[in-house]
Amino acid sequence: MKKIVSAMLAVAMSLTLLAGCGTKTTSGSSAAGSSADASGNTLKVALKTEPISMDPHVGNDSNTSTALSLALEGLLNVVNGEVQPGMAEKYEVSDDGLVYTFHLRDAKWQDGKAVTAQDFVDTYVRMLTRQDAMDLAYLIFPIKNAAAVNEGTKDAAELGCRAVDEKTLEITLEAAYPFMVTLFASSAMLPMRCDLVEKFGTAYGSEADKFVGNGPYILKKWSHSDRMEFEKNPDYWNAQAIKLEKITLLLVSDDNTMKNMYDTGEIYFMDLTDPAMVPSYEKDPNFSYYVSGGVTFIVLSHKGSSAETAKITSNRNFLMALSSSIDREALVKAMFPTYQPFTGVINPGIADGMGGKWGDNYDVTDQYHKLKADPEAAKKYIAAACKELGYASPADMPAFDFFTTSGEQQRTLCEYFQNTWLETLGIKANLRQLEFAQYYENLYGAPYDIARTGWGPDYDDPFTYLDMWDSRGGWNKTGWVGENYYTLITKANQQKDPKARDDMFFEAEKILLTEAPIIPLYMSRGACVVNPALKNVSINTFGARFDFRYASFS
Amino acid sequence: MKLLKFILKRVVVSVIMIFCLVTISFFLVKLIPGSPFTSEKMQAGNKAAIYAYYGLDKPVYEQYFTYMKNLLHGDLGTSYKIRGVTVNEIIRTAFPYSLDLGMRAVAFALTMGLLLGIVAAYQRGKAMDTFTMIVAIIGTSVPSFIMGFFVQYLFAVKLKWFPPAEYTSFAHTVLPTFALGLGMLATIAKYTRTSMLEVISSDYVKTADAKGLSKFRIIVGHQLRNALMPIITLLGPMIASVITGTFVVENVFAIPGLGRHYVTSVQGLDYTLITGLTIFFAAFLVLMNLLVDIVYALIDPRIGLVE
Repeated sequence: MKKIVSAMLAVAMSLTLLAGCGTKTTSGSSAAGSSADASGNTLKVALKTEPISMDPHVGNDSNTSTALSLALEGLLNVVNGEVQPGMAEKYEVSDDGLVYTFHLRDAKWQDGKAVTAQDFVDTYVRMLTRQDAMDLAYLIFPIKNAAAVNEGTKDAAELGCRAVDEKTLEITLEAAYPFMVTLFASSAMLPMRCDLVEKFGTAYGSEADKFVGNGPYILKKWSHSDRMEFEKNPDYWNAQAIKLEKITLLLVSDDNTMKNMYDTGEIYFMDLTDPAMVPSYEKDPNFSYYVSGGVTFIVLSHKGSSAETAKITSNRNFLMALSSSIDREALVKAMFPTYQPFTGVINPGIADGMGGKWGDNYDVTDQYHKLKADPEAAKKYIAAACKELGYASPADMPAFDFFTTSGEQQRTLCEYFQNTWLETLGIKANLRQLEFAQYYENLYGAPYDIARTGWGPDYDDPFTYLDMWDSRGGWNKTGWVGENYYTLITKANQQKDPKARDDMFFEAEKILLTEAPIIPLYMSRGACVVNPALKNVSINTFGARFDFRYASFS
Repeated sequence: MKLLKFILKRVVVSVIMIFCLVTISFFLVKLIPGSPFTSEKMQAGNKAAIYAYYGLDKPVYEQYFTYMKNLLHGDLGTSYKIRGVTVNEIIRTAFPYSLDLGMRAVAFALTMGLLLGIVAAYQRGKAMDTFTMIVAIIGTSVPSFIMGFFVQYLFAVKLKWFPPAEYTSFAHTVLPTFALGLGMLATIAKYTRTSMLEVISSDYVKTADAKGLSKFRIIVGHQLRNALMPIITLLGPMIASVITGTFVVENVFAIPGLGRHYVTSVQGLDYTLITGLTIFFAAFLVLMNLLVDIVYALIDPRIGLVE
């Protein structure tokens, strides 16, 4: 018997060897970028989701903006929240704040063609008129006639954007918006090569060989769902400030995998997208928080899922009852220890018009909505709502349709609301979790009563949190129409004095908190860890979220 | 001749089956509530424009005919979510990774599984048998994502023997191969042990032994050939599912295979990608089952397809 076993083992060993041989040859062919040469001048960064496209009009999530910032450069750059010159060497603003004149430097696209003012004009016209991707067109509506060109009611020639000569670009605005400088530096306003769009069509920006950049790095290889490899652009105007030879953006969708890669030194930087990961790094000297600007709230639909619930969800006392029963402090502490409880509409970390932060001068914390739960007040509110709506008790109200996105975390979060409302108020809510694509479809069209949702800012100005509640725009589909609100924000944007404008925005915020169907919950906060060997990573709330262009190894 | 006729018949049935599958999945994905182009900040008018751009504003039957026409030319369409990239291209770049990992896992599971099974059968009740049973229990009961993270943590983070993720060199393939193959290995070992035990005391084995054949020839030529039958049945679908990509293991080791597309395409309602992957996977599964049937016929003369 022993003989058999040893014979078997011999067979097994030879088989394993054979398998080894066979696989060795295949591994050679599948080898992509070598990870072994993570030497001095190559940086590897893991991203949780793949950048959507190198076409700057297609996606504006933070990972896409990170990739875009390496290979494209706009009129201005943001580095560590500070606006710096980019393709525009300098710019002037007219006295009325309506006309920006940019003077472009002598710069080249990676194929050797000069970057011209006309490139920018073509890009913005295309952004407004293209049929295949217009999600982001609204971002440049501050430019004169942009909205009309987008709707097709005005000709592209009437857009307030004109090439005075090859190197001078003149942009005229609808109003003297004070946030334009950050908008000019954002990824939405990056230039593209419209002459190549004719050649590549929708595929422009989808592959390394279907894209031409003008930024500090050149996209050398893009293997989808895997990695993007960037190499230093020797012709970049500021090439001497660029230290790294190669940057690889690697798609790693699992948080634990990313953590293991960071811990073993495979990657030098990690964005902690899952708050549950924060406690294991919070004490790390290389850990830091950053302002992400995201706010999360509950909205009530005034249209309701039925005529009966619509009456209830439009009732102010009902909204306040739901809000007062929520303990925001306890909730955040238990579920999102890195986030902060929130009772306003405008994120206090956003810039105000006077060079500071919104939260410095304007604060609604704990005023209209409370940080802690107040069950007594909640019961009073619900009793008042019952009286106004003719119910003997909240138990007589129909069950409400309450929906959110999919995932374990969302379920836990919304079950907390469900339980709290049932226990404190006696209100029943049926929770539905939807996949992302269905979730937005539902939020914008289908009947519902209550939804958990959120908002991320597009530019560094309070208006980014207010604009969305204009019922004529795209986002606010709750059925709430605030005529006085709309008049107020329009008037605010016509103010020359930044303080007067901010004061009006503050009034507008108060209107939202007393009239609009919003229950603020918490603000998210970003967190990341950077290997101490890696220096000069710029982290921005706007523009590229993580900008590695000036990064270097110590 | 018989075999050829059998294969032909099976191919025809397979084509009809895949056609039905394409049709069903094409209409089913459209029934999923939601839209691939809805996003947080999309304006209503812009959505209509993009629907028109992708031809989604046309009646569904018209979309179906266009799709089928393109499919006949081997064109699976363009992904909605991975911008500007065709489904053919996605499969072409991602499948080699899944195939490579899958083949390794199958090779590992098959050699080690058979070996463990045979040894366990011969060492019944002894240490090797117990060891095999432990491996079998762990392999079948521990889900691959836990096994994946466990080996990643132990061998990459703690012991630093292998890199934690990516798929660029031989060292990178070891941990995912193990994590993916262990479950298969366990099943194969268990089946091999059982069927070896069944034939070990049968008359023809005793005859072979009496004839004075070597142990090796008895095991490989007589016992294993019979014992393999149930394992081959198992192997077809097993290989098909492993080779076409597994979400969990690919996710844990950041391998750019097909696995993640199965999940993300459905989440993002990427109609063309969902349908394209379904067709690809179905065709592969059908092919594997066909191969299994042929191998079956070759091994077992009683099926009577080979004269």
